[in-house]
Amino acid sequence: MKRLKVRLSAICLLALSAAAALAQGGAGAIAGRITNVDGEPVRSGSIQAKNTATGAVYTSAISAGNYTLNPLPPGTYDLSMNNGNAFLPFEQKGVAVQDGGTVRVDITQRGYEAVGDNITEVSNDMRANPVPTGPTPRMPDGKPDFSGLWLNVLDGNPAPPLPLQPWADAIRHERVANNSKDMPQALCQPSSPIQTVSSFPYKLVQTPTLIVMLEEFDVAMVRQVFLDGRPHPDPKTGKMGSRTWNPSWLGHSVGRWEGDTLVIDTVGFNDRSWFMTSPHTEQLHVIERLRRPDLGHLEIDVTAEDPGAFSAPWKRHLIATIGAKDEEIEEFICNEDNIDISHLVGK
Amino acid sequence: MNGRFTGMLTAALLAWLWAAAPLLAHHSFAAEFDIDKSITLAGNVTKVLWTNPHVYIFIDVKNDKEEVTNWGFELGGPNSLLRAGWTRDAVRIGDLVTIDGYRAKDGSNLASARSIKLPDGRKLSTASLAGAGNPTK
Repeated sequence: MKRLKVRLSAICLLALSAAAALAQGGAGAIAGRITNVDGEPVRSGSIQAKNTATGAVYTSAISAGNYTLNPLPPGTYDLSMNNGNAFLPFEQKGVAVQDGGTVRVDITQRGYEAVGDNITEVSNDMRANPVPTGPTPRMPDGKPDFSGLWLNVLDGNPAPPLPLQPWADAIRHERVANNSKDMPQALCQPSSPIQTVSSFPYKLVQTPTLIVMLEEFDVAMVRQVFLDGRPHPDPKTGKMGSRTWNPSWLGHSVGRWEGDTLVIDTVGFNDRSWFMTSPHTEQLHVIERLRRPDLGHLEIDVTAEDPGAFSAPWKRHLIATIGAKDEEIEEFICNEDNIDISHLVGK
Repeated sequence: MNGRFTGMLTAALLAWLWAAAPLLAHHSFAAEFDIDKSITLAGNVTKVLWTNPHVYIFIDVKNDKEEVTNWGFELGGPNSLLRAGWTRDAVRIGDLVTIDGYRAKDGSNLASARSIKLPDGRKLSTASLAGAGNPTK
């Protein structure tokens, strides 16, 4: 199935043992690992192998992301898996099984969890081609200038799983089981507390004391990163000078320089956004380390920690490339006509 | 139809065939549509909602008894469609189109559009087929 990005990461035939070679009507196996696009093991369901000569169907349950179809009479098999609405159906035809051999077929299963905008089409059109080469642009004071319209390279770079405390993991499972019906972006609220982890273009506008981040998706909002040395709000009182911080979707971001790396530190989040499909608390703390090694590339290392919900820090490395010269951030007024909301159903 | 548009459509169709990249979620596919209920309908376009967060195309569909039912199909957003080579008048009221997609779970006459075949035979991608969900995943 063309829509599936199926990775046959390794297909290896083990050497036939002498004993197996001699056996009449011997057997082989097909085995492998099944993960979702996040690299997380698929926890349930089953996979079938149909012998193309006899029509016999063999089934293996998927357990902790692994399956083993064993024993299979030698022959050619069509592998298939259809685990309902959670995933796209999978097919792999013509898997040859030899006597005594194990064919390994690892599968990355694509979900049908979301509908929205096809980032393949977007990025193919928007990315500067070729990505321009040249030295890192710099501000008058010599610091790197991150200004530009950026597109993350997400294909082939799935997010690592998020280590969660049991209560948070339980909520995540409940959300997924409920078709992620209540994800904030369906209500035209921000999809993520970390706006640099985006499938859509974002524009950075840099001054010596402030970076403004313009997002095309998901709501018309502006993120400010202060470079003027101001501190975060007091973690206990929320005070910052005469004002009091109101926990927010994007938090309070300040940046400091470590050589040519800009370290953006963000706290002060509310707990209403979803971190992927997981909950987080107001203790969420995000560090984004930005580098612009040359004209056309932006590198971001994200570390997120939340002692209230995560069991370990979550890290992600992103590379973005500069957009084509004529690309701009487009208007996206999400609640212009959000008629989906009345059609969403849970489990 | 200018050359750029045609070329972009070709690119868009190729992109659609390749698919495979993570898509951005506006809402959960599984919460609205049923992957097990594919549907293909032909009819004349009655309305085009060129709005955010999704574009909708409505068509009148006749059954064997000549009874007419109006169906809505959800596409991606205008920004993605434009970048995929669409223009807002790529599909016009009155056009006879064939759309395939997946039905809404709530039983309404609504579906997620997968592709749209125009009267001249060209097939448009819809910048909407689901993939991977929230990009922070």
